[in-house]
Amino acid sequence: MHADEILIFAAFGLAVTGIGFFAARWQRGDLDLIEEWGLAGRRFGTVVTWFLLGGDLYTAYTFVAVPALVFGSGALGLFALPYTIIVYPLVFVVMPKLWQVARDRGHVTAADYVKDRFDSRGLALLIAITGIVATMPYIALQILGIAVVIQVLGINIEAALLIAFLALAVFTYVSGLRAPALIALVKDTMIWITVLVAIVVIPAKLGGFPAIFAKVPASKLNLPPALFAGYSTLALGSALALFLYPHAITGTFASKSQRVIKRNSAFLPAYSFLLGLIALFGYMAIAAGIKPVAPYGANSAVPLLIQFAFPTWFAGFALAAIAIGALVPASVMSIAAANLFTRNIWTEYVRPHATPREESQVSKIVSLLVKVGAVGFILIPGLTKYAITLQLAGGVWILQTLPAVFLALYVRRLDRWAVGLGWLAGMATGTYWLFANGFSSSLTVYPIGGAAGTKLYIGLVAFAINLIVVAIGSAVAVAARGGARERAEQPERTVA
Amino acid sequence: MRPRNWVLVVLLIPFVAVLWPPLYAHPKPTILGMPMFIWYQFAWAIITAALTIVVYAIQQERGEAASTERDDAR
Repeated sequence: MHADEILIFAAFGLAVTGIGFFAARWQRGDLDLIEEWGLAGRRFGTVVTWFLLGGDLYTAYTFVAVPALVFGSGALGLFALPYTIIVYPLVFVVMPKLWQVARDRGHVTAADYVKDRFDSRGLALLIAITGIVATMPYIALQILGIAVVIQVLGINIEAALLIAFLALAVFTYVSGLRAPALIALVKDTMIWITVLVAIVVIPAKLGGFPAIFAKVPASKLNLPPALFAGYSTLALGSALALFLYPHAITGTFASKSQRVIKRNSAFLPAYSFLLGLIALFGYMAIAAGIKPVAPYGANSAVPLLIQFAFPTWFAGFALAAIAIGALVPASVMSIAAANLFTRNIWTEYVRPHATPREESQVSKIVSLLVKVGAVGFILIPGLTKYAITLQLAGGVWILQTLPAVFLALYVRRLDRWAVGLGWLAGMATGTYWLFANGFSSSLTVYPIGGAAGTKLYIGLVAFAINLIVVAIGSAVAVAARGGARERAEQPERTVA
Repeated sequence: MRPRNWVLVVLLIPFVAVLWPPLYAHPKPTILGMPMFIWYQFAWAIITAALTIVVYAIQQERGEAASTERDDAR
């Protein structure tokens, strides 16, 4: 424990909390409206969106878990690179289109769009629940990211987490999406400084890059052929899923034009490069002979490497960067989950005539409740592993909403029943394979491509089944409805 | 695909480049001791950003941004 390290850590934490409260006054709007509280009035330009999405998608947990995977398992952990490389061409094509529809029709959530597009609040409910369930454990893992960092600082974890949580909860409640956006400007600057310094200082300390890679076992530096298909399907499936997550959609909907989203698909890969550098920290930790500590195991590798390599004052700064990094996604995620609950469950099924003021109030309160649940997962002993399991499953589940949200933008003849059935088929098969795997890995062996079978990403295989059901179901529905009726109806609003 | 959007095909290149590990899962050549498997993927992070900028620039040039603003499918 070092006083200056903790002092610097605490000072940045305090400063950022102050910024979170101040954010309520920034680009002022009526925070009693859900579009203002939950989407910041859809006014963010290219730079703010870059920081917000960068800070939101590349979460603290990612920064801890990706190098931990490289540290423990080697090359497979680098799938984060192809994953975050190919996601942006997808974003470039799909998200401006979704943004435009959402703005024109006043959608706040993906489920709002689904309800409108398919004229089905039942399908919207499925999408909303999938989003909330996938997001909750993700928030818990952000809190875990803070816990891992605090542990190496040597201060009381429960007390520190409670303070961090209170700050997070209150500034999110007061300022809405403006808070994480403004904090992201500070936090991302700190992360960039930390990583760029680390990538120079740590190799210098370890005798240069060639010396680092010479110390890593060769088996961890290259991908074995048995993992080729698993690596690719994991990258592709994760890329297809990323912008279906409610926090990604919230961050995108908050931008002010299609142009902002397109420009960001060109500039956000800078963060992918950054994430790649952070993944290399896993190799550096191996070369430095870092011994991970209980209870966080490999996840403590990077915080320990930071303490090993830097003077205490800079270690305090770097650890603060990671911890504050957890606040931005945790805040956006809780806002996104709260919006889904409010728009697609509360005002849809419980209080259909809620005023805009009540709607925004419910959202604020739900954003608090969601975080209480997340902190519980981390503080109650034994529950942390369920958060990790659920987040793994969340990726598989959220991918099953792709036909309803993305495909619906391009294919007019999608039938709502077919899309619902496809979702069910994808959720059921995906969950079954995860279960059969003991929820230990998102890759499993499928009996294709030779006697030994092939390891593939469960989420992508479940998604393929989902797509087949959607295609067959929609074809049957179109045939059943008959050609004449189809010609007569509105192209968008299918009579089902 | 509408004819004016042919340029989007360029964005398929990164998919082929990084989703086919036999292309790059090799220990050699190395750069700074880094096996090809690693530096190749870093390189594609940069190339993909560059390709996206090119596609964006071409779209702007043709004033497509304005015409795609109002895409009717919803």
